[in-house]
Amino acid sequence: MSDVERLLQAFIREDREGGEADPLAYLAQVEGDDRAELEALIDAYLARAPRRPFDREAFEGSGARAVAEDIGRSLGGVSGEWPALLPRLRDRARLRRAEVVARLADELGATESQQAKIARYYHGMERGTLPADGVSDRVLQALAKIVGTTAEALREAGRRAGGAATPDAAGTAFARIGAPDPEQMPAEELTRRRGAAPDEPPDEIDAAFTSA
Amino acid sequence: MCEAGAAGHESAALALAMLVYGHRPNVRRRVAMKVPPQDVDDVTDEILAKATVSAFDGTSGGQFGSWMNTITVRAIADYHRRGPGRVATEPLDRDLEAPAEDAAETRDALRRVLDALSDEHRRVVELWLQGFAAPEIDGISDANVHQIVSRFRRALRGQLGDGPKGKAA
Repeated sequence: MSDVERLLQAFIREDREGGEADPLAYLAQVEGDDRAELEALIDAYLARAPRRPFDREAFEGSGARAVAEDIGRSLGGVSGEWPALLPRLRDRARLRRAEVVARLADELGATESQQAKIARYYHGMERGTLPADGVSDRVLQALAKIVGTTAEALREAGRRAGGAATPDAAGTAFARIGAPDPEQMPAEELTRRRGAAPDEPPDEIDAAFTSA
Repeated sequence: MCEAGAAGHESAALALAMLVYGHRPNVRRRVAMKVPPQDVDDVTDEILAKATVSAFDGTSGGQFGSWMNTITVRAIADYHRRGPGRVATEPLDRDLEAPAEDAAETRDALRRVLDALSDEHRRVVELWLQGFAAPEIDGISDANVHQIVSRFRRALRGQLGDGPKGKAA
């Protein structure tokens, strides 16, 4: 039996016994063409391997939970894939949400009082409560520059998925997989609460986020 | 009615949790073979998000497992096309136009070799790829299984760039 076949079988055996075998440890044992072949075969095996049985307790403590929550917000919200995409872009850029908001405010030329409003709108984008089609190109261009993508890509992601008529119902149910999100706020409420003074007429920041 | 709706949403949430939790380890390990360690989780979660959202909004193609595989290969290729440090945000149809990189080439090589097999030989190789040993494969002798697998592997190596690009069967 060749090294490649022996290693493939050992990998599969370890995996089937519940060890979640590490492919890199096996690939490190061969070089060149053998490595390329083993990689292709392990990949083919993993593409066909059964998915892990669900374990609620393990799920709660796993990285899968945060992913599922983000996806749930995308599916249950009105912001397309932004809830799944924006936090990832922000993490990649090594920015906290407050830093993104501060830079966004700077890019949009917002005043200090308007920054709180931008924070709420951006929060709505990440939570799936701000309708994507209301966000202007100007905001998306500024945001794209900050998190390292393009405005077109953000626009496209905002169009995909989501769009449920009742973001509260689906979004809350999905969020219930993990911890409830007390900050989740419907878009109408978000708009209603803009600025410090409720009766204040909409300004250019409101327009930039809600009437593209 | 409200209770039924809530139950439906709970079911959807559970289905989502099961899909993400169930597929993440295999997707992550496939990504780990092709992407630098610091970007593995990022690319993995991008794949899960794309595949799952598509499944729930009805735009996925075919069976979920196959769809997940398609997205995995495209996302890895896209990662290399775009270069490290950029997260994939392009729509799927743009992914379809992406030039094949290493991951896609590997997948294509495997598909070409499998497609060239007879139905019976493909059945044997598929079972072997799922981890079945020769004695566990019905309807064919161990010796024939070894022969078919040996030919398959030789053809795969050929497609991967080592040796003659012969057909496996």
